[in-house]
Amino acid sequence: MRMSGKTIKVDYLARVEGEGALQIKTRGQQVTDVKLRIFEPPRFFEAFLRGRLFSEAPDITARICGICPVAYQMSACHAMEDALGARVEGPLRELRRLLYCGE
Amino acid sequence: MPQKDKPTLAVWKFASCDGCQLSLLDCEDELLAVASALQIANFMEASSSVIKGPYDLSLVEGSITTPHDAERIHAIRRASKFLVTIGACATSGGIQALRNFKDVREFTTIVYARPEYIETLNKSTPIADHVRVDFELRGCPINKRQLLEVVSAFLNGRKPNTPPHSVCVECKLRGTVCVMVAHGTPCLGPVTQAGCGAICPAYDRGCYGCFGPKETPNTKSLAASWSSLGVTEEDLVRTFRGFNAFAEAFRKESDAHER
Repeated sequence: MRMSGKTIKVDYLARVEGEGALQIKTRGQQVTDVKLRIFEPPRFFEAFLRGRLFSEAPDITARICGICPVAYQMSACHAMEDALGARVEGPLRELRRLLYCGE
Repeated sequence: MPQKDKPTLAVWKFASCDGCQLSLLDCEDELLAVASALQIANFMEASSSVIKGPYDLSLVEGSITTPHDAERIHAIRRASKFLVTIGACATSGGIQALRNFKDVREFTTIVYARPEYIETLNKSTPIADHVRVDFELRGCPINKRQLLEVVSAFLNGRKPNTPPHSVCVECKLRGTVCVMVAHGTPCLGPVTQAGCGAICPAYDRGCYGCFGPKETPNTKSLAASWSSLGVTEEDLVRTFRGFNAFAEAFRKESDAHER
């Protein structure tokens, strides 16, 4: 096998929220170096969610990412259900799954 | 190939979620018409091909939260003939402006394992605090119809028609029964600018202020109505501290209820 060096460089990762850049260096089949640079400014959701009403969390976390808001909304819902010992089943769970997959 | 006869469009991002600029890509039926009227010259979410400025129309998303961004916005202003802010972050500082009421250093230490790598300003501020802005489009997120209206107005050299009245007017237009009067559900509609189409009240939910304060909002009177529905002072502080917490009318009302 030829041991050729290769560099994959993406200056702007557009399909994730939180601007970033990625550089991967390979030699043959081996990855030799990975650099991930996140240049999105910090927004501190984890900090300012403290002290908010639990019912506000899905609306607020939806604003983490405008590409995949449902992922964050659903995470917030699941976290609260865990905390309250609630389990959502049946058509409602399926509907939520559909909404998430649809995203 | 750049077409010099068409005005150029650039889309810029600061601290934000990308949602407002994606509203442009969400204009599926109208996107070709937009692209035929404008040369999309700088829009990283749409294409990695970038045409050098200056630009005729710049859409700016996000708020200013870092020293680097506070510099970058000036370069963008210099490269833009007409600059429009899109969304609550760019227009009022966004949800990340909740730091403005707290100690950002404490925020940095609880969120990041190595806070020394984090460079951030004490306040998240709207674009208009830094440079001249030609038009501000509200919303969290913006309404794509209103975005098309802004682009169309720009192309035709007229003022965008985005009504400054309250969400209440939109409820009346769509025939939604008032959730506050009929059901006693606290609603920010009377002080919030229209633009969303009054979605929440149509689903029996109170408005939570995504489009920020309407012109001449009577927040004091609305807060008194909320109190009579049993809403506490603490709840009122939180209510006005949402996506437009740093917009003056909402900021002052939230401060008034803070002990």
